[in-house]
Amino acid sequence: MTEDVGAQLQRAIAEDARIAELGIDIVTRGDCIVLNGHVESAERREAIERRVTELLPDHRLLNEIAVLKAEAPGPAEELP
Amino acid sequence: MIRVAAVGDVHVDADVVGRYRPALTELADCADVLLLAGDLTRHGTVDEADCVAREFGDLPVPVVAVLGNHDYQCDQADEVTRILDGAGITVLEGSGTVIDSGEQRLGVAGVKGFGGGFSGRCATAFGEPEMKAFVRSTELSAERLASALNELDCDSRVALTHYSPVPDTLAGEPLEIYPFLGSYLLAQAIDAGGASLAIHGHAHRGCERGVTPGGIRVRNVAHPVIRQAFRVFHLGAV
Repeated sequence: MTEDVGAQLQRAIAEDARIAELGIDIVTRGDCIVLNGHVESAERREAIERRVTELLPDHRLLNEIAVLKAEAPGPAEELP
Repeated sequence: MIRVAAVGDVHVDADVVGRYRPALTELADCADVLLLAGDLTRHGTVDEADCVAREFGDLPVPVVAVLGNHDYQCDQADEVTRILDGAGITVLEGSGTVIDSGEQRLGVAGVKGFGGGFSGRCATAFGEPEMKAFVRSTELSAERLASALNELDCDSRVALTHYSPVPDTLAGEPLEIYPFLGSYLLAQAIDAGGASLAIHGHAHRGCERGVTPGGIRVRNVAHPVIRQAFRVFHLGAV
Protein backbone atom coordinates (compact mmCIF):
# COMPACT_ATOMS: atom_id res chain seq x y z
CA MET A 1 0.00 0.00 0.00
CA THR A 2 1.21 3.52 -0.71
CA GLU A 3 0.17 6.79 0.85
CA ASP A 4 -1.70 7.57 -2.38
CA VAL A 5 -4.36 4.90 -1.85
CA GLY A 6 -6.77 7.32 -0.21
CA ALA A 7 -6.48 9.84 -3.04
CA GLN A 8 -6.69 7.10 -5.67
CA LEU A 9 -9.91 5.74 -4.22
CA GLN A 10 -11.41 9.18 -3.58
CA ARG A 11 -10.87 10.19 -7.20
CA ALA A 12 -12.10 6.87 -8.57
CA ILE A 13 -15.31 7.06 -6.58
CA ALA A 14 -15.94 10.67 -7.63
CA GLU A 15 -14.76 10.61 -11.25
CA ASP A 16 -16.00 7.19 -12.38
CA ALA A 17 -19.16 8.03 -14.30
CA ARG A 18 -20.84 4.90 -12.93
CA ILE A 19 -20.40 6.17 -9.38
CA ALA A 20 -19.97 9.99 -9.04
CA GLU A 21 -20.04 10.02 -5.24
CA LEU A 22 -18.19 12.87 -3.53
CA GLY A 23 -19.21 12.36 0.08
CA ILE A 24 -17.65 9.00 0.93
CA ASP A 25 -15.08 8.79 3.74
CA ILE A 26 -12.15 6.52 2.98
CA VAL A 27 -9.99 5.33 5.87
CA THR A 28 -7.09 2.89 5.59
CA ARG A 29 -6.26 0.59 8.51
CA GLY A 30 -3.26 -1.48 7.48
CA ASP A 31 -4.50 -3.61 4.60
CA CYS A 32 -8.13 -2.82 5.40
CA ILE A 33 -10.11 -0.12 3.58
CA VAL A 34 -13.06 1.32 5.51
CA LEU A 35 -15.78 3.18 3.60
CA ASN A 36 -18.31 5.41 5.34
CA GLY A 37 -21.05 7.72 4.15
CA HIS A 38 -24.55 7.73 2.69
CA VAL A 39 -25.87 7.03 -0.80
CA GLU A 40 -29.32 7.09 -2.39
CA SER A 41 -29.62 3.42 -3.36
CA ALA A 42 -28.29 -0.07 -2.64
CA GLU A 43 -27.07 -0.24 -6.26
CA ARG A 44 -24.81 2.77 -5.66
CA ARG A 45 -23.41 1.23 -2.47
CA GLU A 46 -22.60 -1.96 -4.37
CA ALA A 47 -21.06 -0.06 -7.31
CA ILE A 48 -18.62 1.64 -4.94
CA GLU A 49 -17.71 -1.68 -3.36
CA ARG A 50 -17.12 -3.25 -6.80
CA ARG A 51 -14.88 -0.40 -7.93
CA VAL A 52 -12.78 -0.39 -4.76
CA THR A 53 -12.37 -4.18 -4.97
CA GLU A 54 -11.31 -3.87 -8.63
CA LEU A 55 -8.68 -1.29 -7.76
CA LEU A 56 -7.36 -2.99 -4.62
CA PRO A 57 -8.13 -6.71 -4.92
CA ASP A 58 -5.56 -7.62 -2.25
CA HIS A 59 -7.10 -5.41 0.42
CA ARG A 60 -9.85 -6.23 2.85
CA LEU A 61 -12.90 -3.99 2.48
CA LEU A 62 -15.21 -2.89 5.27
CA ASN A 63 -18.18 -1.24 3.57
CA GLU A 64 -20.02 0.86 6.16
CA ILE A 65 -21.87 2.98 3.58
CA ALA A 66 -25.57 3.34 4.44
CA VAL A 67 -28.50 3.75 2.07
CA LEU A 68 -30.56 6.85 2.84
CA LYS A 69 -34.27 6.67 3.49
CA ALA A 70 -36.74 9.20 2.14
CA GLU A 71 -39.46 8.95 4.74
CA ALA A 72 -42.03 11.59 5.65
CA PRO A 73 -40.61 14.42 7.76
CA GLY A 74 -40.82 14.82 11.50
CA PRO A 75 -42.29 17.90 13.22
CA ALA A 76 -41.77 21.28 11.57
CA GLU A 77 -39.29 23.76 12.98
CA GLU A 78 -41.04 26.93 14.14
CA LEU A 79 -39.13 30.08 13.13
CA PRO A 80 -39.74 33.84 13.45
CA MET B 1 -46.96 32.04 8.72
CA ILE B 2 -45.80 30.19 5.64
CA ARG B 3 -44.70 26.55 5.53
CA VAL B 4 -41.45 25.86 3.68
CA ALA B 5 -40.36 22.31 2.86
CA ALA B 6 -36.78 21.80 1.71
CA VAL B 7 -34.29 19.11 0.73
CA GLY B 8 -31.05 19.08 -1.24
CA ASP B 9 -28.63 16.57 -2.72
CA VAL B 10 -31.25 14.06 -3.81
CA HIS B 11 -29.00 12.90 -6.71
CA VAL B 12 -31.86 11.42 -8.68
CA ASP B 13 -31.27 8.82 -11.40
CA ALA B 14 -33.46 5.94 -12.58
CA ASP B 15 -32.64 3.93 -9.44
CA VAL B 16 -34.12 6.64 -7.20
CA VAL B 17 -37.36 7.36 -9.06
CA GLY B 18 -40.31 6.59 -6.79
CA ARG B 19 -38.37 6.67 -3.52
CA TYR B 20 -39.36 10.24 -2.57
CA ARG B 21 -42.82 10.14 -4.05
CA PRO B 22 -44.70 8.56 -1.09
CA ALA B 23 -43.47 11.29 1.29
CA LEU B 24 -44.07 13.99 -1.32
CA THR B 25 -47.75 13.08 -1.51
CA GLU B 26 -48.08 14.55 2.00
CA LEU B 27 -46.74 17.94 0.92
CA ALA B 28 -50.12 19.58 0.51
CA ASP B 29 -50.90 18.89 4.17
CA CYS B 30 -47.65 20.27 5.56
CA ALA B 31 -46.11 22.83 3.19
CA ASP B 32 -46.86 25.79 0.92
CA VAL B 33 -43.70 25.40 -1.15
CA LEU B 34 -40.90 22.87 -1.69
CA LEU B 35 -37.33 24.12 -2.11
CA LEU B 36 -34.66 21.92 -3.75
CA ALA B 37 -31.14 22.96 -2.75
CA GLY B 38 -29.16 21.63 -5.71
CA ASP B 39 -27.50 18.37 -6.75
CA LEU B 40 -30.81 17.19 -8.10
CA THR B 41 -29.04 14.72 -10.41
CA ARG B 42 -25.91 12.54 -10.33
CA HIS B 43 -24.18 13.85 -13.47
CA GLY B 44 -26.48 16.57 -14.83
CA THR B 45 -27.69 14.61 -17.86
CA VAL B 46 -30.94 15.04 -19.75
CA ASP B 47 -32.04 11.54 -18.76
CA GLU B 48 -31.44 12.26 -15.09
CA ALA B 49 -33.28 15.58 -15.39
CA ASP B 50 -36.25 13.63 -16.77
CA CYS B 51 -36.08 11.45 -13.65
CA VAL B 52 -36.06 14.56 -11.42
CA ALA B 53 -39.05 15.90 -13.35
CA ARG B 54 -40.94 12.65 -12.71
CA GLU B 55 -40.02 12.56 -9.03
CA PHE B 56 -40.49 16.23 -8.13
CA GLY B 57 -42.86 17.45 -10.85
CA ASP B 58 -46.65 17.55 -10.70
CA LEU B 59 -46.76 18.20 -6.95
CA PRO B 60 -49.57 20.01 -5.12
CA VAL B 61 -47.29 22.92 -4.08
CA PRO B 62 -44.88 25.12 -6.07
CA VAL B 63 -41.37 23.64 -6.38
CA VAL B 64 -38.39 26.02 -6.52
CA ALA B 65 -34.84 24.79 -7.12
CA VAL B 66 -31.24 25.78 -7.68
CA LEU B 67 -28.77 23.52 -9.42
CA GLY B 68 -25.70 22.08 -7.71
CA ASN B 69 -22.21 21.08 -8.84
CA HIS B 70 -23.37 17.57 -9.86
CA ASP B 71 -25.95 19.16 -12.16
CA TYR B 72 -23.10 20.79 -14.13
CA GLN B 73 -20.96 17.66 -14.55
CA CYS B 74 -22.01 16.89 -18.16
CA ASP B 75 -22.16 20.53 -19.30
CA GLN B 76 -25.91 20.28 -19.91
CA ALA B 77 -27.13 22.68 -17.22
CA ASP B 78 -29.25 24.66 -19.69
CA GLU B 79 -31.00 21.50 -20.90
CA VAL B 80 -31.48 20.29 -17.33
CA THR B 81 -33.02 23.66 -16.43
CA ARG B 82 -35.33 23.54 -19.44
CA ILE B 83 -36.59 20.06 -18.55
CA LEU B 84 -37.23 21.05 -14.93
CA ASP B 85 -38.99 24.25 -16.02
CA GLY B 86 -41.13 22.12 -18.33
CA ALA B 87 -42.15 20.02 -15.34
CA GLY B 88 -43.24 23.15 -13.46
CA ILE B 89 -40.12 23.34 -11.30
CA THR B 90 -38.83 26.93 -11.10
CA VAL B 91 -35.04 26.91 -11.38
CA LEU B 92 -33.35 29.99 -9.93
CA GLU B 93 -29.89 31.27 -10.82
CA GLY B 94 -29.43 34.90 -9.85
CA SER B 95 -33.18 35.27 -9.88
CA GLY B 96 -36.16 35.10 -7.57
CA THR B 97 -39.79 34.13 -7.34
CA VAL B 98 -42.67 34.91 -4.99
CA ILE B 99 -45.05 32.34 -3.52
CA ASP B 100 -48.33 33.67 -2.17
CA SER B 101 -49.81 31.39 0.49
CA GLY B 102 -52.80 33.66 0.91
CA GLU B 103 -51.56 34.54 4.36
CA GLN B 104 -48.04 35.60 3.40
CA ARG B 105 -45.97 36.30 0.29
CA LEU B 106 -42.67 34.45 0.47
CA GLY B 107 -39.84 35.55 -1.78
CA VAL B 108 -37.17 33.03 -2.72
CA ALA B 109 -33.92 34.15 -4.33
CA GLY B 110 -31.46 31.54 -5.49
CA VAL B 111 -28.01 30.90 -6.88
CA LYS B 112 -25.88 27.79 -6.99
CA GLY B 113 -23.10 29.69 -5.24
CA PHE B 114 -19.53 28.48 -5.19
CA GLY B 115 -16.53 27.93 -2.93
CA GLY B 116 -13.66 29.97 -1.59
CA GLY B 117 -13.85 29.43 2.13
CA PHE B 118 -14.53 31.52 5.15
CA SER B 119 -13.30 34.41 7.24
CA GLY B 120 -9.55 34.50 7.78
CA ARG B 121 -8.94 31.40 5.67
CA CYS B 122 -10.53 32.29 2.37
CA ALA B 123 -9.24 32.14 -1.17
CA THR B 124 -8.07 35.48 -2.59
CA ALA B 125 -8.10 36.83 -6.13
CA PHE B 126 -4.33 36.82 -6.41
CA GLY B 127 -1.79 35.08 -8.59
CA GLU B 128 -2.73 32.70 -11.37
CA PRO B 129 -5.68 33.46 -13.65
CA GLU B 130 -7.31 30.19 -12.54
CA MET B 131 -7.28 31.39 -8.93
CA LYS B 132 -8.65 34.81 -9.83
CA ALA B 133 -11.40 33.18 -11.92
CA PHE B 134 -12.33 30.88 -9.01
CA VAL B 135 -12.73 33.79 -6.58
CA ARG B 136 -14.41 36.02 -9.16
CA SER B 137 -16.98 33.31 -9.86
CA THR B 138 -18.02 33.28 -6.21
CA GLU B 139 -18.03 37.09 -6.03
CA LEU B 140 -20.36 37.27 -9.04
CA SER B 141 -22.63 34.60 -7.59
CA ALA B 142 -22.88 36.48 -4.29
CA GLU B 143 -23.58 39.76 -6.07
CA ARG B 144 -26.36 38.10 -8.07
CA LEU B 145 -27.86 36.62 -4.91
CA ALA B 146 -27.89 39.99 -3.13
CA SER B 147 -29.53 41.64 -6.16
CA ALA B 148 -32.13 38.90 -6.49
CA LEU B 149 -33.01 39.16 -2.79
CA ASN B 150 -33.30 42.94 -2.93
CA GLU B 151 -35.54 42.85 -5.98
CA LEU B 152 -38.16 40.63 -4.33
CA ASP B 153 -41.48 42.29 -3.49
CA CYS B 154 -42.73 40.13 -0.63
CA ASP B 155 -43.32 39.82 3.13
CA SER B 156 -40.32 37.61 3.92
CA ARG B 157 -37.31 36.33 1.99
CA VAL B 158 -35.48 33.01 1.82
CA ALA B 159 -32.07 32.62 0.21
CA LEU B 160 -31.64 29.28 -1.57
CA THR B 161 -28.14 28.09 -2.48
CA HIS B 162 -26.32 24.84 -3.03
CA TYR B 163 -23.01 25.92 -1.50
CA SER B 164 -22.93 26.95 2.14
CA PRO B 165 -22.79 30.58 3.27
CA VAL B 166 -21.35 29.72 6.69
CA PRO B 167 -18.87 27.26 8.21
CA ASP B 168 -21.28 26.39 11.05
CA THR B 169 -23.26 23.91 8.95
CA LEU B 170 -20.06 22.24 7.71
CA ALA B 171 -19.20 20.88 11.16
CA GLY B 172 -18.43 17.20 10.56
CA GLU B 173 -16.76 17.81 7.20
CA PRO B 174 -12.94 17.71 7.00
CA LEU B 175 -11.56 21.21 7.59
CA GLU B 176 -9.34 20.79 4.53
CA ILE B 177 -12.29 20.86 2.14
CA TYR B 178 -14.20 23.83 3.63
CA PRO B 179 -13.04 26.09 0.75
CA PHE B 180 -14.78 23.71 -1.68
CA LEU B 181 -18.01 23.72 0.31
CA GLY B 182 -18.94 27.38 0.51
CA SER B 183 -18.01 31.00 0.91
CA TYR B 184 -18.45 33.85 3.37
CA LEU B 185 -19.41 36.01 0.37
CA LEU B 186 -22.77 34.21 0.19
CA ALA B 187 -23.45 35.09 3.83
CA GLN B 188 -22.67 38.73 3.13
CA ALA B 189 -25.20 38.67 0.31
CA ILE B 190 -27.81 37.03 2.52
CA ASP B 191 -27.31 39.63 5.24
CA ALA B 192 -27.40 42.50 2.73
CA GLY B 193 -30.51 41.13 1.05
CA GLY B 194 -32.67 41.04 4.16
CA ALA B 195 -33.32 37.29 4.16
CA SER B 196 -35.14 35.65 7.05
CA LEU B 197 -33.69 32.21 6.39
CA ALA B 198 -30.93 30.68 4.27
CA ILE B 199 -31.25 27.15 2.92
CA HIS B 200 -28.38 25.19 1.39
CA GLY B 201 -27.12 21.66 0.69
CA HIS B 202 -23.80 20.28 -0.62
CA ALA B 203 -22.24 19.41 2.77
CA HIS B 204 -23.21 15.74 3.16
CA ARG B 205 -21.23 15.30 6.36
CA GLY B 206 -22.17 18.65 7.86
CA CYS B 207 -24.85 19.57 10.38
CA GLU B 208 -28.20 21.27 10.11
CA ARG B 209 -28.01 24.60 11.89
CA GLY B 210 -25.94 27.73 11.56
CA VAL B 211 -26.20 31.50 11.53
CA THR B 212 -24.72 34.24 9.34
CA PRO B 213 -22.58 37.06 10.77
CA GLY B 214 -25.72 39.23 10.51
CA GLY B 215 -27.77 36.81 12.61
CA ILE B 216 -29.76 35.09 9.85
CA ARG B 217 -30.59 31.44 10.44
CA VAL B 218 -28.97 28.95 8.06
CA ARG B 219 -30.18 25.39 7.50
CA ASN B 220 -28.29 22.63 5.68
CA VAL B 221 -30.94 20.37 4.15
CA ALA B 222 -28.62 17.97 2.31
CA HIS B 223 -30.41 14.63 2.29
CA PRO B 224 -27.55 12.78 4.03
CA VAL B 225 -27.81 15.38 6.83
CA ILE B 226 -31.57 15.47 7.36
CA ARG B 227 -32.06 11.75 6.52
CA GLN B 228 -35.70 12.13 5.59
CA ALA B 229 -37.50 13.17 2.43
CA PHE B 230 -37.55 16.87 3.37
CA ARG B 231 -37.53 19.24 6.34
CA VAL B 232 -40.39 21.65 7.07
CA PHE B 233 -39.93 25.16 8.44
CA HIS B 234 -42.80 27.37 9.63
CA LEU B 235 -41.64 30.89 8.83
CA GLY B 236 -43.34 33.62 10.82
CA ALA B 237 -44.68 31.13 13.36
CA VAL B 238 -43.11 32.66 16.49
